[in-house]
Amino acid sequence: MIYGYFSRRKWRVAGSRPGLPASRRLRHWLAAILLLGAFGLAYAGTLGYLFHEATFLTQPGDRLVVVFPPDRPVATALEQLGSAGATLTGTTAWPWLYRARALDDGAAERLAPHAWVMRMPGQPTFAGCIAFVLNKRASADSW
Amino acid sequence: MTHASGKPACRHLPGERGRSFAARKGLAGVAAALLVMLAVACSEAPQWQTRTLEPGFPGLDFELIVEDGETITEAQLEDAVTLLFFGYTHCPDVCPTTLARLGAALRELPEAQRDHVKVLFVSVDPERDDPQRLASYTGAFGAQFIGATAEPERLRQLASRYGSSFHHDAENEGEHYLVTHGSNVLAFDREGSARLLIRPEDGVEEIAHDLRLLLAS
Repeated sequence: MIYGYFSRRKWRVAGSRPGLPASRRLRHWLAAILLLGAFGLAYAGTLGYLFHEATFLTQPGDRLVVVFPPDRPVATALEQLGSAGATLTGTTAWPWLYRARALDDGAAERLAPHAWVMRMPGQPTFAGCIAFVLNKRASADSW
Repeated sequence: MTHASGKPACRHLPGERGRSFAARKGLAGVAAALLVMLAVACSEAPQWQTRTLEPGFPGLDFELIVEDGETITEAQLEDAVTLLFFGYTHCPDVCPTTLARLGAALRELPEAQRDHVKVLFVSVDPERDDPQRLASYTGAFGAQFIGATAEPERLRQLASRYGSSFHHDAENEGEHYLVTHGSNVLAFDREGSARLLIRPEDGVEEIAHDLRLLLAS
């Protein structure tokens, strides 16, 4: 019975429910959009904060992976790296990809207009980013 | 060779012989290509043990004040392999260990080669590191060590040139402060071209190995 109900042709194509009138379908879509919007707005601040925190707010010693535009000369890239408050810790076979270490809080943020920066607190893994955020929250709680 | 019936033991279909010849030729080509690649890989010059730098990396170019108050430029280090390191004499950890490691690597070299290597220790703390202090500090590590410094702005420019930076921390109660700086050493060949990045995890043997290669190149 249930199988027959869900396997009916009209449920198979998402968004096209021939049984509903057009005005009701529109209302469903609007409700879904509003719900998503409300969710986004409710968590925009938190998500934005976490994104900013995880991306830009470096601490001295944080590892950075810096990707410059491929046409950027090596000398310019290095100068931008140094001027931003980072220090080169490793090079790769590609002259646009560098590993660096942040020397102060704003190194990644200053570097961001010139290059794509990925912050790697602790071990250079994606899990490191999550661990950093969790640690930060834990330490904030302990204050 | 034929069977008793007089039929050939192995018969090729029309065109098969040509295909097998082509396949053999293809295999021989692949084998030859592999051999060439192997030969290139084996004959490829030096197998560096520290990190090599891109050709576009800036060469040696500086003007600093050395231990006796005189000015030193890259021209005075011509025909020497130069190791460039940014640090300061009050550094409690990175600088003494790095310089000790470089000193140990230099001692691995024969004496004749050792004199062709210079370690340029650039102090990023010119306020406290005057020429006398620099001289006594670098002298403890060996005759190849040269202490140098400059005005803060020039130091910043020089550090940025090589993708490095430094940051003066706040003073504590005893008016002491730390300077955060990079821990890598840049190695330049006799022509002043940047060749290697020596990192804290590179051991004495590896550094000495690469210095030998740099001196031979």
